[in-house]
Amino acid sequence: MGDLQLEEIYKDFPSHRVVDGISLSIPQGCFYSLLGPSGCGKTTTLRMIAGFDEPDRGLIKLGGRTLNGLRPYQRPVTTVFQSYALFPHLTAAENIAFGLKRKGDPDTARKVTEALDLVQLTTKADRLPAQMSGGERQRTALARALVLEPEVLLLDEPLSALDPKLRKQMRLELKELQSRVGITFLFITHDQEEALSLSDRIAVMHKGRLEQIGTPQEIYLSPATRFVAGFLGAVNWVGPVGVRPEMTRISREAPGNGARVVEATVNSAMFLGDCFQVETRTSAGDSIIAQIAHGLGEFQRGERVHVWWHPQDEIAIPQ
Amino acid sequence: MKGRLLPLYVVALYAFLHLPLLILCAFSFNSSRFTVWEGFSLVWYRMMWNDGALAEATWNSLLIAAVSTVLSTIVGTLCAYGLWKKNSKLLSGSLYLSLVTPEIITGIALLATFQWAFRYLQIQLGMHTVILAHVAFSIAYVVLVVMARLRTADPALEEAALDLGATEWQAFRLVTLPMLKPGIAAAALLAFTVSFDDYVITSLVAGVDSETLPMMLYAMARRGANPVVSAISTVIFVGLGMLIVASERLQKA
Repeated sequence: MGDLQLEEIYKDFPSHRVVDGISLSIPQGCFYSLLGPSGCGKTTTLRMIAGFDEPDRGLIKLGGRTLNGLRPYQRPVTTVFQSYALFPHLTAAENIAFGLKRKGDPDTARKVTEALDLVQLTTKADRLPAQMSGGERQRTALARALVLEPEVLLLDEPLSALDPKLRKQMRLELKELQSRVGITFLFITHDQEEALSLSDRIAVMHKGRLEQIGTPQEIYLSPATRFVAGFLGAVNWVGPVGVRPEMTRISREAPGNGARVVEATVNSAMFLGDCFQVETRTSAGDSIIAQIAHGLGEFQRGERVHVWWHPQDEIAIPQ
Repeated sequence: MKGRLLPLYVVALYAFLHLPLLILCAFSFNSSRFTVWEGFSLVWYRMMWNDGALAEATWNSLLIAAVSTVLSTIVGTLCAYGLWKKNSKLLSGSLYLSLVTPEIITGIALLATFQWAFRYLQIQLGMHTVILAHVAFSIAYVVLVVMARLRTADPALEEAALDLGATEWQAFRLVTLPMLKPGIAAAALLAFTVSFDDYVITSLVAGVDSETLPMMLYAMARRGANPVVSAISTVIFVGLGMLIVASERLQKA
């Protein structure tokens, strides 16, 4: 057992470089997310850790032991696939037993029962994948990977095939499961909300490179690049400074001392249910969006207003 | 308008497709040897049953079809698997070339190849050359059917097996092969039927000891209308029909 380390990993595809010099250190027992848009190289990174692809250069180490060159079945890591990749001709219990049987584990029956119990599938043990709901398939895939007690569990966008409501529920279950089993989770996603809510640490990837590594708060509140700031959520850019819409206020009167103020005209106001979204335009032509709670006033198109925010809420990108 | 014409069209189409077979079947039960109905009789079936040469030709056909089905299904399935892994357009394209090559050309080419090889090998045309030829033209059919099944498969399945500790061989045997089973069964059935009813290629590469049922039927039919031929054809048709229904049932079970 130990930390998972990537040292200067490069991977080229025939047409372009997919992974461009990535170095990461993932502490043991951590819920770690690789976050980035599709095509940023995050899935290729996962595949190199699992052993489906080999890096062109660089080392992959787990607890000091080099994994390069080992076949997938020789690595103490398991994967939850985006498509789940459950074996269609095997029941939930048989899918979970598959890995234990390959190892000739004498405790297979007991471990399968425990794994089914862990993901609350005891009553569905004899169902084939085709007879399961999306959530049940997802849990079977999790149990199948966890039952082998890997040192690292790799999760490749495991929630993306679920409908939005189920996705939020599975998110909670996943977080809970990780704290119970204490295994390192490396979670691959393009969904910033998922990454922010689940992770102990997040690495943001873009075009094969790492943009920033940090806790969810660090990444969201102090993004290191414009890309990270924009990928994690909406940003109003006023010259070199950015401010998030939910930190932006609007008032008819000038705000008190200390606030950063821009005069603007209301362009549109939209009711979003939990808040109003007001879009304004400054005389310089910049668009500033503010999300304001109910009771903080309603604004009409064409109205002249003060748009303001507190300096500590500003996003300043280091140059 | 639409409501009346459509059923009419369907009836006409099915009559066009199936009437010849029905006529053939009907006259196999005719007591006359001419195409005039004279009454129901099983005389031609009795003659068929007692014909020793016919029994031998049937045995040859079944043996050839069975052996070439087993061989072409194994080779074709492995070939489809390899093509799916390699994903090479050139390789799969050149394989399908053998599907569109006119049978007569395939037959002549095979015959030329056998004759050339036999100069050095001291063997003659016979059952073995027929079986080899049937394997050769069945493989492409098997690949086609198995590939269709593979294309719909999740490529992550084998990776999942490797990830869970299976070797490449175990991943193929325990995951891919079971998943391909219905496709392989369908491919084997197709290989069996194309082998069983082939005439053109078979007649070119057959030896004196390897007359097949289609060859015999062809020779008999050429000598003029013969109700025994109708009886045999009816039996073959019903037999293959039952085979197809049985395999459908098996695949669903």
